Amino acid sequence: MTRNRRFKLQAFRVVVFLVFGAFFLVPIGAMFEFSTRGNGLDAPRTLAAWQTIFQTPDLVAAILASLALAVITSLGMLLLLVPTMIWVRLRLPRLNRVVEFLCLLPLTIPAIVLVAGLAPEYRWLSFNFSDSILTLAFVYLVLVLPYTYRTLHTGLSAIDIKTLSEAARSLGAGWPTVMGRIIVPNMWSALLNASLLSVAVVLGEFTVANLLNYVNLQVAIGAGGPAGGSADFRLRAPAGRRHAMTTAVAAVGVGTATRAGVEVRLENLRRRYAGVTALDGLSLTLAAGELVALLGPSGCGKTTALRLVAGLEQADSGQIVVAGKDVTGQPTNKRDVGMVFQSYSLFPHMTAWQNVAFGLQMRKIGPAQRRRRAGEMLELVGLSGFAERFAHQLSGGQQQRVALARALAIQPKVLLLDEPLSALDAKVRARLRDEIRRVQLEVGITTLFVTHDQEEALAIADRVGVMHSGRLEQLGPPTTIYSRPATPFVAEFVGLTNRLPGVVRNGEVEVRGTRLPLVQPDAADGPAVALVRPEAVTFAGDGEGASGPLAGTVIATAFLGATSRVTVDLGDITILAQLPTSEASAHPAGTRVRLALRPDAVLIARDEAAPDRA
Amino acid sequence: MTVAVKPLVETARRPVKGGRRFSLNWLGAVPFLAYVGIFLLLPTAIVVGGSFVGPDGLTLSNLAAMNRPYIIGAFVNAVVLSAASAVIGAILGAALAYAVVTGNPNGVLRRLVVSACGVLAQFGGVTLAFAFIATIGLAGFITVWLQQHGINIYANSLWLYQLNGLVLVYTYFQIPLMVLVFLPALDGIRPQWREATESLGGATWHYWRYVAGPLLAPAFFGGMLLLFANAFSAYATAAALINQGSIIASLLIANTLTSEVGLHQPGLASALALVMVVIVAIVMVLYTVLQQRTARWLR
Repeated sequence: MTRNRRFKLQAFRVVVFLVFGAFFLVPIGAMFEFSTRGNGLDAPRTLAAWQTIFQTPDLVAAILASLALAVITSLGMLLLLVPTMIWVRLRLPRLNRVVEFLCLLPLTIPAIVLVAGLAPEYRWLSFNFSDSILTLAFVYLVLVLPYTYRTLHTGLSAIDIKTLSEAARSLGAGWPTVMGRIIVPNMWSALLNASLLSVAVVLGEFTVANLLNYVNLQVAIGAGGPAGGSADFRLRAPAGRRHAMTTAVAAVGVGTATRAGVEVRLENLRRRYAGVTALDGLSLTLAAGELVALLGPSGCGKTTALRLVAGLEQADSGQIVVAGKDVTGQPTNKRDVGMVFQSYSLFPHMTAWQNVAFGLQMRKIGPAQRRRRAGEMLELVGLSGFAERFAHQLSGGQQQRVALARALAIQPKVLLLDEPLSALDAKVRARLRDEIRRVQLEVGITTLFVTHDQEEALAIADRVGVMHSGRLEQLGPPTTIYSRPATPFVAEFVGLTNRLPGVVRNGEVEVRGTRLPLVQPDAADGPAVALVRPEAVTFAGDGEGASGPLAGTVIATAFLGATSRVTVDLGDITILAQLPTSEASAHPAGTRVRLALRPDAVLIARDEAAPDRA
Repeated sequence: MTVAVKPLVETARRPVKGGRRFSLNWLGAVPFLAYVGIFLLLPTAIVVGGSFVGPDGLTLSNLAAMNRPYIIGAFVNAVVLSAASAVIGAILGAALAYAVVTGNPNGVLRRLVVSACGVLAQFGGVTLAFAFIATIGLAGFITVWLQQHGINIYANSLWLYQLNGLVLVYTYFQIPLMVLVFLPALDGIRPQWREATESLGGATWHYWRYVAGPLLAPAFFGGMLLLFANAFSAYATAAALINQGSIIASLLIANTLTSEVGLHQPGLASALALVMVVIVAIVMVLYTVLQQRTARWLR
C-alpha cells in the first residue's frame, strides 16, 4: 500500500472512530449523568436515585428476577441446545438443517407475535404461568436460540467433533467422558460466549415481560423507577404532545503475438519496514524478453522487490526503470505490468473470460474485441473450454492459468509472477511451471519470477538471482548458480551440500586426506569447512576391509529415479553421495564402503550457519 | 417348520437392527424438537389460526380488516421506519466495519469494537429510550446545552417522540448489528483482488465499481434486509418512547392484544401478527438468498 493511501486510510479510521465513539458513548454517559442529578442538570450531584433502587423492594425484586431469569435461561440453553447440536452432528447429520432452521426461526417471528400466540396456549394447557416470573424463562429460551445457535455453531465448526469423539470412543471412553472431557473443553469459549449472549438478551428483554404483565428489570425501568424520580426526567414525553486507464492499446494484438520484451532495471533499491531492512541496495537488470527468477528463503526481500516493480510498495530510495523510463513514482495502474499472485487472485464473481477481459475493459477496449482477445488468451493457456466457469469451478492449476492469461491479455511490458505455483500440488506445479515457460517464450515478455523453490527457479529461469537478507548474493544462469556458487549461502541454499571440516593450505583445502581446489584460491590458510556437492562423492571400493579417513557404513539409500542418494556414516560425521541407482543398489544399508571426493573446485565456509530453507 | 423359521431369520437381520438404531438416534433430538414445537411453533400456529377465528367461529373478517386506514397507516409507518433505519444503519455500519477491517486483524481495537457491537446490537428497549431522552430529550443534556446557546431543537415539533425520533434511536442498535453482519464479508475480500485490479490498469474507483462493490453487494443488501426485519419486529424501544397512539405495527398489535378499553380483539391481533410474520419471513428469505450468494463468492 502506498504511503498516500495509507495516510488517507488512517485519517478515515480516526474520523470514523471518533464520530461513532461519540454517537455510542454520549447517550450512555448522559444516562449516568442524569442518574446522579436529582432535579435537573444544574442540580447538585446526588446518589439518591441509586439509593432508591436498593431501598425499593419491588425494584430489588425486579432486578433479582431478571438476574435469575438470565441464569436459568442460560442453563436451559446449555442443557437443551448443546447436547442436541452435538448429537445431531454425530448421529443425525440429516437433521442439521432442520435444527438450524428451527433455531433461526425466531428471527422471523417477532417477540410480540410469540406473545400473541402464547397467551391462548397457556390457557389451553391450563398451565398457570402467572405464579412466578421465572416461567418467562420458557419463552426467553426461544428468544435466545438464534443468537446462541450461531455462536455454538461457530465453536463446533472449529473442531472436528466426529473424529475427536471416535478417537475417544476407540480408546474406551463412554459418552459422558467424550462430552465432559473431549468436546466441551474444546468449545468452552463458545459456551461462555453463548451464555453471556443469553444473559444480555434476557437482561434487555422488555416486550414479552411487559405484555404478559411481569415486572423484570426493563419493565421496572420503563415504569420510571430508577430514572431519578423527577417528573422532568420521565421516560415519556408529556401526554397530549406525543404522538482507465487512459493508456489505450492502439490495437489489440492478434493471436499470441504481443509487444517485444523490454529491459527492466532495478537500481540500488532500499526498503525498510518498522526498523527491519527488507531490501538493502538491490540492483538487477532484466534483459528484454528474459525470465529472471529471484530465489531465497522467507524474508530475504524477493517479494518486496517484485512488489516495488509492480508499484504495490514504494521504495525508500533507488530507481525502477522500465524500457528506459523511470517508473519509480508511478502508481501500479499506470505501470503496464501484468501480475500473477500466489493464489486466490481471480475475481470470484466473474467467469474465466470475464476475468481475462477485465484488464482490457480498464483500457476501454470494446466488448467484442475484449471477448475475442480473452478467448485467444484462454486458448493460449489451454483453457478455451472453460471460459464460462467461475473460480470455484476451476482447479487450483486452472485458476492460475486463467490468472496468467489475465495478466498477459493486457500486453504488459513486464510480467511479474509472485510464487504462482506454491499453492499447487507437486504434479500440477511441474506441469504449470513448464507451461508458464512455454507461454513466456512464445510471447517474449520480460518476466520476474519470485520463488523459494530452488528446483522451480533452476528449471524455469534464464538467470537466477539468489537473495539473502535483502541483498543479491549471486545472479547467473542456473548451471553457474549450481556448479559455481559464489558464496557459501548460495552453495548451501541451492542444492544439497556436505559440510566437511578441513584445512586450507596454499590455495587448496585438505579434507580427510584429499586435496581439493578452491573456488576462492586466495583464501587464507587455516581450518575451514569445505562445501562438497553429493555428486562429487563417489564409491572407491567396498568390503569389510574398506578403511581410511573416507571409509564408512551405508546407513540409508533414497531412490530418486536414475540416481539415488546414499547416506554413509563415517563415524564422526555422515556424508551424502549421489550415485547412479545401479551402483547405489549394489551397496545396501550396512555395506562397508570407501568413498572418494572428485577434485572439483569447492567453496569453503568459516563459522557460518546453514541457511534456512523456507 | 423350515418355512416358518426362514423369514424370521431374514427379518432379524440388518433391516431390523438398522431401523432400531434409526429410532434411537431420533430420540436424542426429541427434547429439542418438543420444546421448539411447544414454545415456538405452536404459538405461531395459534396466531395463524387465530387470525381466521372471530367471536362466531371461522371468519375472514380479521384479514378483511387489514384495509382499515389506521392499520394500513401503522404498517406503512413501520415499513418507512424500518427502511429508513435499515438504510442509514447499513451505510454507517458498513463504514464502521470498513474502518475496523482495515486495522490490525488481531488488534485490541478490533476486539473492542466487535465486543462493543455485540452488546450495543442488543441494547434496545427502555434503557436505550432513556439514554436518548437523557441526551436529546426535552430536558436532555445536549438539548439544554444547545438552548443555552440559542438553539431549540424542538422549536417545530417533539420529533424525538415521533417517527423521526424512532429512526434516530433505532440507528443506535442497527449500526452495531450491521457491523457484526458485514464484517465477515469484508474479511473475505482478499488484498490480491485490489492489487490484481491495479496491475490490470484499474484505479481505486474501478476496484470498487467492478470488483469489491459487486462482491460485497449481496452482503451489504443482505445486511440491510436483516436490519429491516430487526426494526420491523422491534417493539420495546418504540413502546418506551411513544405511549399514545399506535403509530407502528408492533405497537398496534400490543394495543389490540392488551387494551382494556374495548379495543381488545385477539382475532384482529392475530391477523396483524400474521401480516407481520409474512413480511418479516419474506425479508428473511431474501436475506438468506443473498447470504448464500455472499458465501459462494467470499469463502
